[in-house]
Amino acid sequence: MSNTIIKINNLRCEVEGQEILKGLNLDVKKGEIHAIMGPNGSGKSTLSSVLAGKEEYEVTSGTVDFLGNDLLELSPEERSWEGLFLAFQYPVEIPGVSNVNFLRTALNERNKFLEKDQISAKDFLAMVKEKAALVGLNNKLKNRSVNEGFSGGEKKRNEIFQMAMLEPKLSILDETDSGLDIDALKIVSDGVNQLKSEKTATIVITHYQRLLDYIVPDFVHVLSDGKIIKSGDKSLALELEEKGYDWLKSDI
Amino acid sequence: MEKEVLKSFKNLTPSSIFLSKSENKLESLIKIGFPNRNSENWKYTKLSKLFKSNFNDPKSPSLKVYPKSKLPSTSTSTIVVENGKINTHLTCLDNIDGLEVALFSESGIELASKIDHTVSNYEDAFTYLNGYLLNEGINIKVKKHIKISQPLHIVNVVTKSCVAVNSRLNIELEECAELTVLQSFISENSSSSFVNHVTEAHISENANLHIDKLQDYQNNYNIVSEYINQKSNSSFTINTFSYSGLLIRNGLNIDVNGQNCHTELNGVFTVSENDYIDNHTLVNHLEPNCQSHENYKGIIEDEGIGVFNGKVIVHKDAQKIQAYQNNNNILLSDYSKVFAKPELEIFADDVKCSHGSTTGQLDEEALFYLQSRGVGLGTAQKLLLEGFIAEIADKISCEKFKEYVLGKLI
Ligand SMILES: Nc1ncnc2c1ncn2[C@@H]1O[C@H](COP(=O)(O)OP(=O)(O)O)[C@@H](O)[C@H]1O
Ligand SMILES: [Mg+2]
Repeated sequence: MSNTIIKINNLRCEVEGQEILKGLNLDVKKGEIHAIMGPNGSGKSTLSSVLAGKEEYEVTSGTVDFLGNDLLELSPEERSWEGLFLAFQYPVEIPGVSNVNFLRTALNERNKFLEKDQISAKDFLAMVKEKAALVGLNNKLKNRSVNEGFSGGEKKRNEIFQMAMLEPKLSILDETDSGLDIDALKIVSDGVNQLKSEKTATIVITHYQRLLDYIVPDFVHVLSDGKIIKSGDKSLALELEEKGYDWLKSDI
Repeated sequence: MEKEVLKSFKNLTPSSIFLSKSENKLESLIKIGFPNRNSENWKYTKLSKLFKSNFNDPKSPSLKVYPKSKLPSTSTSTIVVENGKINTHLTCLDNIDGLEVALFSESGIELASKIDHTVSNYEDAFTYLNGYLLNEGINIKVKKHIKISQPLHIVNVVTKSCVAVNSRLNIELEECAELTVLQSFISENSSSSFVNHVTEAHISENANLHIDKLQDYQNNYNIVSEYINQKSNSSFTINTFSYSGLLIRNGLNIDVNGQNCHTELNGVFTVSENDYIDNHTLVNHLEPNCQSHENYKGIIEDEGIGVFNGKVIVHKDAQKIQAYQNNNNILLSDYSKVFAKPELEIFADDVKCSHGSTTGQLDEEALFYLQSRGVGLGTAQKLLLEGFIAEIADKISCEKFKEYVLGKLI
């Protein structure tokens, strides 16, 4: 069995006729944490949207292998069922849709796809209780409509709560740290660290080194203008913190 | 003139029910004639097909089994009106203290003074037609201080094609009385029929009437005209769920005739194929210190057409009125249409009123969010639509009714 979770090869994509990702390569193996850093507008969220299957992003070339599947051929829900999870930079509010009920629907649709049993109400509630505690999600928020009236920090916690519920093989956290105060940041990072295992991997997108004090990456990549222009270990993040991104840009 | 007006109805037998004063009704109908495209309140309503029909008299009730699959499975007192007449076989009415149910056909002069009070404030051709052709009317009265805890289900089912059914419901709540009515309008093995229904309700001081109404009339026509009169400190709520019909039109007219009244009108209409569903509402605030809340949601797909026209009139001396009106629509196809017109006419100066209407598509971002969590596209759409109507479904008094209504969304 291969140890690779995701292999992105020369990925190019366009939105509204404008090329955003310009030949991106990335390999993530089981047990690894990768950080992707880069200036605003460099294409970090575009990469996560493309991986999650958002339609408006048109892939013009390249391949993505996800656990032996051609990821780009799968619908967004199939990607989730295969074990991909994206914590959105800007989680949407969905009035009238219950925060926990929809998760039960999601879990059951996944189990059906995987030919597993449906989850019982009792097991589900026990799981909700356990995972909500893990990220310190307020009890009241569980039963409200998805993200409706949540503060910025509550929305981010809710993302990690859902991640914990879905137990993905690859989690992509898109700027989960932005808008979090230091206490919330610790709780969210603790949650991510506890969910970490030898069989799963995480891609952490951020433009602050701060988060990486709590979620320690094995690899750090710099994304600029749609390409990874430099990779290294966690010391690269510290270097970026000190010098900014410009020194790298002038390298190329 | 008479011939021309009644063309589609020439095969029908005038009502022999004394209370419906059929001759007078015909006279009034001929005087005002049916609405057409030039009538402001009917300009979108596609009546041409209806008037091209040639309806027959409805047949007597013959259903032997309750049409379960088409109805919420409530375990409550139920009156089944089939093709305009009572189906005694399927009607099951508990004996409830303080609740009186009478048929127009079996009532005499004593009921005559109780009906048409509010109706006569409005001149409406289909209401006149209803009086002229009335098959049967039900009068429900709840006596002073009696609160009926169990809802009363009235099923109006048409089981024959190409017939015209004219039915009527009259509700009278005495002081401090309370009643919940579930009203289901459905068809069974019927197409191209026309159900023309009139409801009139008189809600006395401190009384409370709640109506949950379902309309599912695939391939048939349905016009419902409602006339409500509220006295002081009374409360009236109606939740209308309209699912299908060649033409469905609800004309809801409410006279708020006393102070400190609460009035609530909610509705969901889902229009598909070539269906047409139209909600016209009028709240007449005649007295001060009242509140009215209106909220209608439309979901339109295929080549469906939806209409929402809500009008609130605050009369000159009706100060301190709070009237809120909201309408949201979701179009699910490029060919679906909605005409929305919230209207306020305010003649008092110290009032709080608001109205608004939006029309859009299903939220793509929300769909993607749910899909990315593993909810399949079809289910995600259903969840969003359920979410869209949730605040209205939550107003339904009866859990079984609510389940049924939600289950009917796509
Ligand atoms: N849906 C979109 N429509 C148009 N332009 C977009 C869209 N999404 C992203 N872009 C553009 O792509 C570039 C990269 O954006 P994004 O991926 O959000 O960057 P980052 O997350 O690194 O800040 C920006 O120039 C942005 O304006
Ligand atoms: Mg971003």
